Amino acid sequence: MAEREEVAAGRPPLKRVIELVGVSKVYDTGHVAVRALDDVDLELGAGEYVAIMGPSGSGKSTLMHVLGCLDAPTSGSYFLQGEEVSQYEGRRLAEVRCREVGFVFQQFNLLPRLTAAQNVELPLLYARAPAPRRREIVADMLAKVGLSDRGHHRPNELSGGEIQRVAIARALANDPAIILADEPTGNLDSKSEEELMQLLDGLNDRGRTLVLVTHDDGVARHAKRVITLRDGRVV
Amino acid sequence: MNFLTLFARAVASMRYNKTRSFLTTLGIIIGVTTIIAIVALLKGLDRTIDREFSSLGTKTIYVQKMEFQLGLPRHRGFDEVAKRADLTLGDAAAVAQLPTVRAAVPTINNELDTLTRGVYEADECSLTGVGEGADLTGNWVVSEGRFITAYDLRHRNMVCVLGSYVADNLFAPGDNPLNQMLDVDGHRYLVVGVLEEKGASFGHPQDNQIFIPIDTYLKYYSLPKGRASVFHGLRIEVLPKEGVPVESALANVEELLRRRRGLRYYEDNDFGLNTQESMLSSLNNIRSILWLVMVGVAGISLLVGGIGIMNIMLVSVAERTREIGIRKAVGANEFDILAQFLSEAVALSSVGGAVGIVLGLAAAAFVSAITPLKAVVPWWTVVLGVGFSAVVGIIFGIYPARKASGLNPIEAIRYE
Repeated sequence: MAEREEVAAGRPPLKRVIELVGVSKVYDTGHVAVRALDDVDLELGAGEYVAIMGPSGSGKSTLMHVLGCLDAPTSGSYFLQGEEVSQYEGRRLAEVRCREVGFVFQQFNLLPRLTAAQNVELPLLYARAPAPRRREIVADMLAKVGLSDRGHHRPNELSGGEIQRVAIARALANDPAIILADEPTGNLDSKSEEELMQLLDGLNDRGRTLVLVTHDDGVARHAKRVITLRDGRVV
Repeated sequence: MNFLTLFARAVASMRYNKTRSFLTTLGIIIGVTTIIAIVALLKGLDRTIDREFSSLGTKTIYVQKMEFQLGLPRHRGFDEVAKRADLTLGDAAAVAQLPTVRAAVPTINNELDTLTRGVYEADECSLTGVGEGADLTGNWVVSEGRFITAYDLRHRNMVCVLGSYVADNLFAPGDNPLNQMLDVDGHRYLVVGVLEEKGASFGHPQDNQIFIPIDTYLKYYSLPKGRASVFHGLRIEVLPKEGVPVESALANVEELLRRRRGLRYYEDNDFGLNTQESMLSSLNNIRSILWLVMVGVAGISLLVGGIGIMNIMLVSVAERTREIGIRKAVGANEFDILAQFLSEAVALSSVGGAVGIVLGLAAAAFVSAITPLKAVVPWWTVVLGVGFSAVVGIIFGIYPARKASGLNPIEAIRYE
């Protein structure tokens, strides 16, 4: 493995958006140590469209959290855009989440007190973008997901599909390296699901790196590459 | 995110839960209202006291049977003070001889019932027997005629000088009281002078007095005995000479009186040397007690208010755990979350503080309107009110805010 040697030499490979090297995640529940991820190696290039599949408890969500820098691996290295983010802590990790990763969750994506536009604005606020720039980007992103006229609505006035589209707009706001979507269509009817997948496909067509976690074969078919996990290992 | 954005968002969050926010701020509102109202009233009291004192003789030493201390004898029982030897005219004459003393005036007074003169009446007058120079020691200005003189005293003249209240009430407007006769308590006096109005001192009227020579007074009235002598016995009003410090005159008077009363060196004074300063200092005791009470009440309500805010912020952090998780997932760092919750706590307490200031000013204005006490609002009370409430917000907001900022994002997102 040439890449491993490069890592050993301290020169991470470029053009790879993501590289996991021997990543394990162990949850210590007190009685038993659960190995949610077991020595996972994974490479994702720029512009890839990947679906992560696997049964419940296979480690999909844990992998997602590690990729999204929400959780640090117990051992192994995680390179995002060539930076070893598994070494990062606190403020720098927040910075990475803010600028390099866009998250779309299965549900409860949006803050109920804020309007759609304010939700999209959040990552820009945390990136300390100036107000005129924020307004510009928010309008831009809402237009991209086809919700320009819904910016002033609160989440409880939006349909499930619209909420997920707002979440995608928010994930795109800081122009991140990857979009991570955790069961994005899990709560949607089939028509909304189809619309949402078309939106995601379109993003990938324009070069955006996408990682989906799903157990739905229909959703996984949209991806160009499928990674299957079982008991914390890539099969 | 700048400070204004933070604050605007915090206020928006408060409006989201109006009733709860109001109830939460109630403690702060009460605390700040108390601070503002009491400071305003105490300041008003200070000003009133200052004004009242300037209407007394500012340098006058009042030699009395008892030491002035919150209006009660200090150290000793009331009866013991009553048993002390009375001050005498001889004491006054001796004090007057001191080189540091300009005037030493024996004074004694007697409350009268309603005084009538034909169809005219004056309620609650008092008859005051004085020596020469009581106009100096009492800071009186004669508006017409003259004051009591040594000649009046020597001959026990039946003359009187009227306070403005007495003159106004017993004589028709335009009817000059000078050289008219006035019957007081069965004796007839010639009015030889009228005094300018001085106003009340500590709610005690002064212009209701009728001054007569003390030797005339003692011809008709005996000195009070027993307990009555404590407050109404003969007293000597001493005015130090021009340029002599009150303290040195005081020391001379003390030494002289101790000698005249045969006190041994180890015995305490059995008379009171009361000055404006000693009265002020006893009033200052009351004032500092009032301030302590205020600080206590305000402190407790701010503490309770602060705990209320902390409690609600903790509830809010728990309720909004998922919100915190999402915020962290989209890039908020610990400081962002800390700043968000801290600014909400400060917004709650500041709004409470602002309402408290308004209510406190209203309460002070209300008390001013229905009592003689005039509220004074120094600018710093408002700063104090805002400052206190903001500090309470920070102190009691920091724990919930830290708790929020330390949440693990994954657990927070999964939180049901």
